[in-house]
Amino acid sequence: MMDIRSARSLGMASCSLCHKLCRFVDDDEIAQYCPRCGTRLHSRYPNSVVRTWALLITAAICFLPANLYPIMVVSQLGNDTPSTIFGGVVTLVHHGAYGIAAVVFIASLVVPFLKLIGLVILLIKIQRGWHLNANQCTSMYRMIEFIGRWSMLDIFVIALLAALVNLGAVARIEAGPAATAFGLTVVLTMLAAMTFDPRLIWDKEVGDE
Amino acid sequence: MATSDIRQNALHQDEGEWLACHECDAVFRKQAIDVRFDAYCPRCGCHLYASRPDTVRRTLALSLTGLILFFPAVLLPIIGLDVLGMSNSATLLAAVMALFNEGYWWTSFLVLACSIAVPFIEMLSLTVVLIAISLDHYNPWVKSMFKFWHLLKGWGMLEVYLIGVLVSMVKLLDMASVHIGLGLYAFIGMLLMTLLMTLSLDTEEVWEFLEQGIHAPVPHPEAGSASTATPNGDDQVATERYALKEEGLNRR
Repeated sequence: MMDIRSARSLGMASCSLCHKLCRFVDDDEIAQYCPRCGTRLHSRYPNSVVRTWALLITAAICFLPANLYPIMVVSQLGNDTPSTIFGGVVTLVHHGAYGIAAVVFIASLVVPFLKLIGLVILLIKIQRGWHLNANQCTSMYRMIEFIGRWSMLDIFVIALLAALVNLGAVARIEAGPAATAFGLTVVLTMLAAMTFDPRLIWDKEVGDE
Repeated sequence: MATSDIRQNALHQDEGEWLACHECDAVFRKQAIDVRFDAYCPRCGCHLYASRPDTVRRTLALSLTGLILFFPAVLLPIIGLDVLGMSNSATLLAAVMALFNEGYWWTSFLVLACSIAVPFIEMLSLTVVLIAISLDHYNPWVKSMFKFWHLLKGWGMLEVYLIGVLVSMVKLLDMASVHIGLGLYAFIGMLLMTLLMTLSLDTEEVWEFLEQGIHAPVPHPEAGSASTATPNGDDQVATERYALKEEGLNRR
């Protein structure tokens, strides 16, 4: 069995920016800086759990208007038809574009939802000491961090459509109020994934006392 | 090796030859790995470091190409459409402006940042840092610039934007005839350059240069002694590194 020690138990910390392993006195009252890049050193991100909770709750609140308000308004020959995120997916299915419908559905509905749930599970595991497999939790965290950016897809589509379909009375596409809320949801969940410290998952693992 | 030994070595020798996984905090001794191999954390599977051959020159070539492609990608139309004899086309900038003009300034700022500003600043700052390294020119602001690049990492979303272009084309198909603009080709080129840049850049090597002020084109020398550099022992370290490089070539 390999003898694995954490940097913290050896009196060291790796720089959060450049990953250099530095000597570290485990006391956040003392400001210590990375000798290589000058970033303030922390053994774990400061207040990681509290900050992630705050960002997650805000993101969850923004996720409601993002789905309830129309995200874009299509006006063709004087008829305004607002559509929500889910409505846009349904329209794509009606047109037979199943692949694209699945992409939009996953990127703008499934991903933000799973991100919220996944980070909440990780936070509760850390706070309540749930016995979940640390390896699986880290994989989930990595997944959450990787797929988060893909939720921006819908925002880009609306920006492009608004610029492209701008033909006066014949056809116009405008963004709806949900665009702001949805943009906020995406940014907040991305920030939540960034402030979450995956090392906390491993801190209570056996053999690392 | 007993843990007390690890501790002794880590504290009394050099810290540079050790590293900690930034996802699970496990401490390892850094080992030289072959070209085109990546090292992963044995405990959590996180990507630790990689050996990238000739990282400075290759990445510089890619980022310069990306910078050149940036201008046509932003200024030329990405897609155009024809409907009832009317035609319209959209550029990257026009997409941002459309949202801004409708009053969605926050959303337009987000689109501006993720599709134009961040990719551009990323390429520009990386180009400046790599030029400074290849000219063996060291300044404190080069370090700040590379730190800035680290902070921006993750906010450029060109690949997401490309899928967005595809989705909007499909959405418009039954309404009008859509055609691809010249800008889209430049955009795809720029996207490819940024992807290849992430594959060819070895941040650890760039940081080692910025720390020591020596341009060492060796991926990861076996002996940790190379990074025990003291500010006044630079020349010696440099020769050590080149010796290691030759050794590596002979072995191959």
